[in-house]
Amino acid sequence: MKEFLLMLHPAFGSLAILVVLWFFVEALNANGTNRWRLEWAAYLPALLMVLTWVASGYWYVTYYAADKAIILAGAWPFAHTFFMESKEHAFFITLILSLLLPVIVSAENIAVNRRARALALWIAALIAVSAFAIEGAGAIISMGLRMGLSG
Amino acid sequence: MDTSSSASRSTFSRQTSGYVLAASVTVLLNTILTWVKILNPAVKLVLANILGNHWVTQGVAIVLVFFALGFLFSRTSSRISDTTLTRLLVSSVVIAALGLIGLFLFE
Repeated sequence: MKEFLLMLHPAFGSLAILVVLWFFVEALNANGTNRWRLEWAAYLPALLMVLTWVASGYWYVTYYAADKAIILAGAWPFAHTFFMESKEHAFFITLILSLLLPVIVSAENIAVNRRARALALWIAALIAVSAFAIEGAGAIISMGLRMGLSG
Repeated sequence: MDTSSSASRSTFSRQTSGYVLAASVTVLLNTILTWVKILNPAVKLVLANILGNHWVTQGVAIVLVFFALGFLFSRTSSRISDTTLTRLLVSSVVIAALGLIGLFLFE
C-alpha cells in the first residue's frame, strides 16, 4: 500500500504533462470545432495537478521523514538538500500555472484572439517543462534513496 | 504580426488580465516566502504550527493568495497590454524558479 501511494503523485503528474501537451496541440489548431476539447485539455491538468498535490503531500507528511534520513546519510545527500527542496517548492509554480490555464480558456476565445492563444501556449509550455523537470528531480531523489540503502 | 501600436492594446478580458497578474505575483511570493522560511527557522515553525507542516501551510496559502488576488485584480480595469502581461508572467515564472534553484544550490 505504501509503495502504491508513493507512485500516485508521479503518475498524476505524468498524466498532467500528457494532457497539457494535448492542450498545446489543440491550441495550435484552435478553431470553432475544437472548443470542447480545448476546455477538457485545460481543465484536466488543473485537476490532475491538484491530485498530485494531495497525493504527494500525504506521502511527504506521512512517510518522507524516514527516506530523508536515509538519503542524507547516503552517498547522494544533494538528492534531498537540492533536488527535493527545489522540487517541493517549485511544484507550487506548476500548480498555479495549472490553475491559471482553465481560467484563461474559459474567459477567452483562443481560436479568434491570437494573443490569448499565445498566452495559453506559453502557460502550457511552462507547465510541461516545469512538471517534466520535477519528474526528473523525483527520479534523482529515488536514486538518492537507493544509494543510501545500498550503503 | 503585431504592430507597435496594436501590441500596446489590451484585448484580454478583465478575468484573464486579473488572474495572469495574480499568477505572476503569486509565483514570486512563493519564492520570497521560501527564502524567508528557509533562512529564518522561526517563520518555518510558525507555518508548521498553522496546518501541521510548513509545506502544507505554504501550499494552501499560495493557492488562496492566487485566487484572492485574481478575484481582486479582475475587478479593476487593467491598463497593461496583452504582450506585457504575457512577458510579465513568463519572466515571473523564470525568476521565481531561478530564485528557488539559487537558494537550494547555495544554502
